[in-house]
Amino acid sequence: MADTISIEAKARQLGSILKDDQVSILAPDRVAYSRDLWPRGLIEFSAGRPAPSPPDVVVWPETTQDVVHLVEWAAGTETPLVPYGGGSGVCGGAMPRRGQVVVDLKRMDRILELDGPNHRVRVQPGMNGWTFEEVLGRSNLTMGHFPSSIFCSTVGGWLAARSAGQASTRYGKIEDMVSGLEVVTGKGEVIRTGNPGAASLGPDWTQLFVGSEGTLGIITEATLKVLPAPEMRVYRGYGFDRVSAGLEAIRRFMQKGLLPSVVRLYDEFDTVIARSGAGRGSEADTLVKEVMGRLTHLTKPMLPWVKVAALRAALSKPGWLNKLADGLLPKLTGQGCLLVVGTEGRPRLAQAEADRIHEEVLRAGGRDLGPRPGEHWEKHRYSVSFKQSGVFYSGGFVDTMEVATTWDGLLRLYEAVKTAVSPLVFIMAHFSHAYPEGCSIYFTFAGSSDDPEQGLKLYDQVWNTALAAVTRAGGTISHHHGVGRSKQAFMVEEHGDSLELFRMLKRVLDPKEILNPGKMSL
Amino acid sequence: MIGTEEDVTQDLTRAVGGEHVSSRPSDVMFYARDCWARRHLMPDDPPRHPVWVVWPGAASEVARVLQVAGRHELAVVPYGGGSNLVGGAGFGDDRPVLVVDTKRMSRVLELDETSLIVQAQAGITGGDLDEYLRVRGLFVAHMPTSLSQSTLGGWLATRSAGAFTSRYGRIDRVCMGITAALPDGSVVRTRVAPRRATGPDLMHLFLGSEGALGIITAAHLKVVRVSKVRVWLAGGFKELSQAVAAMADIMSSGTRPVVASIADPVVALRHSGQPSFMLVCSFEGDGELPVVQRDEARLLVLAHGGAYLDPAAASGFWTARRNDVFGDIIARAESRVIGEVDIGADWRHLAMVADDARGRLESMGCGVTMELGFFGLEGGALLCKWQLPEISDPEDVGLRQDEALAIVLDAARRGGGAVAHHRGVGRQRSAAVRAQLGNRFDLFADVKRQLDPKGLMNPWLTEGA
Repeated sequence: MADTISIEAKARQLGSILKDDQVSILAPDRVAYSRDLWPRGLIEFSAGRPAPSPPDVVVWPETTQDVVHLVEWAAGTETPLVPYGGGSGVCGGAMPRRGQVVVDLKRMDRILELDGPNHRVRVQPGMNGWTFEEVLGRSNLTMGHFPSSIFCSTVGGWLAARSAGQASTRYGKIEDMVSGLEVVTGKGEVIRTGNPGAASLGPDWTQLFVGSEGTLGIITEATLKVLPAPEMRVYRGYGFDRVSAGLEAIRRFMQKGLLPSVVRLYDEFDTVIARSGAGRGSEADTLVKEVMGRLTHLTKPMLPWVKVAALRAALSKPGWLNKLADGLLPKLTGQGCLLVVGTEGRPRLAQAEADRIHEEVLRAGGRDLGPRPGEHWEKHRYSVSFKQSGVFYSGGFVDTMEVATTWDGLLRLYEAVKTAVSPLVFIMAHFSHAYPEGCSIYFTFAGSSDDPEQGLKLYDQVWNTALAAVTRAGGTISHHHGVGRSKQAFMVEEHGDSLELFRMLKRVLDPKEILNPGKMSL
Repeated sequence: MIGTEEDVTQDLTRAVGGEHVSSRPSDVMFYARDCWARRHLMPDDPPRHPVWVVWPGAASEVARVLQVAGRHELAVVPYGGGSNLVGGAGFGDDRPVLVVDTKRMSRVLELDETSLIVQAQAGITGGDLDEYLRVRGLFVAHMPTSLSQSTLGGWLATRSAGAFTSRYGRIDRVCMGITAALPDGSVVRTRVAPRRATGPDLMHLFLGSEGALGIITAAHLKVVRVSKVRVWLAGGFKELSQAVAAMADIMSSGTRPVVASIADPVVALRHSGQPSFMLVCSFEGDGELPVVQRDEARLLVLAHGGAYLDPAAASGFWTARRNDVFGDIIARAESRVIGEVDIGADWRHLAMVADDARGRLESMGCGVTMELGFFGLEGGALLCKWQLPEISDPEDVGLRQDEALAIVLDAARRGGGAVAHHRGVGRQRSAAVRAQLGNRFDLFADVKRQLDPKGLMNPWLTEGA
């Protein structure tokens, strides 16, 4: 058993498999890899527990063969492995426990083959998102995958968690972009999925490994689709009095077969956040700033302490704040909900597509706000998740929950979550990632408490309440962040009896349960 | 088998009702085969046939039937339209066989016109489903040539493709969730969401499994609103490689053609009057957008050296193709001397694979026509049809057909492509596919052992693994 081997012994054994500089048991490394960006971990951090359960060892494989040897060693010693990419996950999916070994894949970061004529690229999992797009851009290509974590996430992490980017409405989620994988299973076997077996007997293994969050295998290579970089982008903003009207507009143009790259509908409060600093300087904006000035900077990094105190005071009465946002805010701002739509591609197509969407949105009651809101969004598109909110230093927290459902139940899902959660935390939402069949909802919530221990309690209560409301309303508990540890208690509600199929796959692919155990309710 | 035939018949009667169980010769002989031509050319000797055919009416009845099969250790062959061309529904060992025909499960269970999702039972034929939707201004984004004969369950089991695949993807991209009866007699349902990030997409376990893991009893499918405008594009090319390059650019251009094909000069001549390779695309939607899409695609045709042809040639091609009903395919197969097979390749190899297959078939003395279609971003399929030269000894026909098939599959392999694209694997090419799948096939067999430890379901698909 893993526990019976000391940390030093593990390091020695691993040192005989890998080179010296590929293995570390140094405290700074073990602390650094003890968590990902699960906000609960940040609350723990502020409670004075920077590394509640550091891994025993951190290793950096450089080849698929390295990974095979690691898995063989892990199976032999029954030592769990935790695959690690950018560490930007927000569900604790890459968080190890004591006794486990973190496998950081960031040294496997090469493009193996850029095959322009076939519109695909073979790439290693440790490739950084932004670097990847830059390299593709030099050949006038793009993946079209732009998660807000793009600076700090990896290709492997995207695939492991079924990531979505901001242009997913046009380009799809990562599972729509991947056509093949190389995976090392828990038995140390190397499986290559996808082409040329595109239509062959048996399951589409690519779709079974994607989203398995390192529990079925370690991804060591991916074949991804690439497209010509867009020559032109067209953005336009629209105003709606209510969320429901905006959603109806989105549903209509999506079901007409139109494919915008960006679709974002903000509810009343999120609209204020989205437009903060937009510089319109209208009276309404000024008025809002008077009332809620400090809150508009909720997600901005490193609040000055003065603002933090005010924020805490405000967040301690979430019910009042939510009511304010619901009732008063639209009147104060006069802008209701903001919808941003972007199209892109070859210039004539991007323009024609934008024109068709424009017609549909106006027909659905939208007010044309011109190109500014979209351009503003583009400027700030990555400013959300790269840095953490200062609210954590005040015993509070900010977190996001991305859920989805089909159009017939979307508004019900939105209302159900808001109703359930608003007595506890301040909550707002936007709708992005639209499909002909439905849409995702991205909730942001902010809570406050007197001390971090209380904060943790509130945090857990909020998540349990929210996820219960989601499953009751028939939504999926995650659209693109994954499950990890934070949502695993709801996997039964999520999958019903089909969860047993996932567990069956686990038995087949990782019989010794050495791959990322304790996650995803396996 | 455990127990007597009478025991089994009794148990099946209890499971689905006596009128839905048959051992009559006319039934068991009919269900002994699908549309695999080779069964006509070289029939089994002695002929094999199932002992029972059952027609369950719901998932719960399928589950009960599988419990009976498990208790008596029968071999189970799920059956839909019987339109499979590669021997997907046939028999490979001496165990008594129970055929489970899904066609009595033919209802539309729910239509969600707000989300454009239909849930239907697996035994519904494509024709019935399409008709149900068309009168409501909708259609299912899947249009195989076998539409009126094949069933939803058959599409899913073989991961089928159709005439609209270039726009909407194959059936596994159209399907949003399934209900399946498992060999242990339980029923499992995968949940529907536009997208999710909560583990593997578990419906993919069953899609493409050709009845080896369980029986799909119902599915949720995306449907599409019929659009107002359809415009056609036809381009003529001297070389196949030029047409392929143009199509590759069109597929990545964002013009999103719905119908997309490249026709052989022999076929093109009938519609365009030009003996050149003809690229055909349709663009569909509302307002001006389809016209802009067509115009952009036309620029790409010209950029690759293509000539702009009268769009009527494209619509004529499509009409002829739509009228090429499945019966014609069967008639060709039964003619004994005609053969056809679907293979796949990426853009860089499509033309090469086509030329390779054509050259070697022609040196056998065959007449050859090709159609390219079912495109994705990375490549597409090649439908290769041949006619054998006159053969004096009729005994020889089967062997010559095998030889022709081997040539085409080998061409696919040499081009790094797929030896089976969208018509399933069946018995026709299970050996070739196994070889190509490598350890993925063993993994499939491992999964089968977990879900079907007694090896009831289509057992020969994984024989020897």
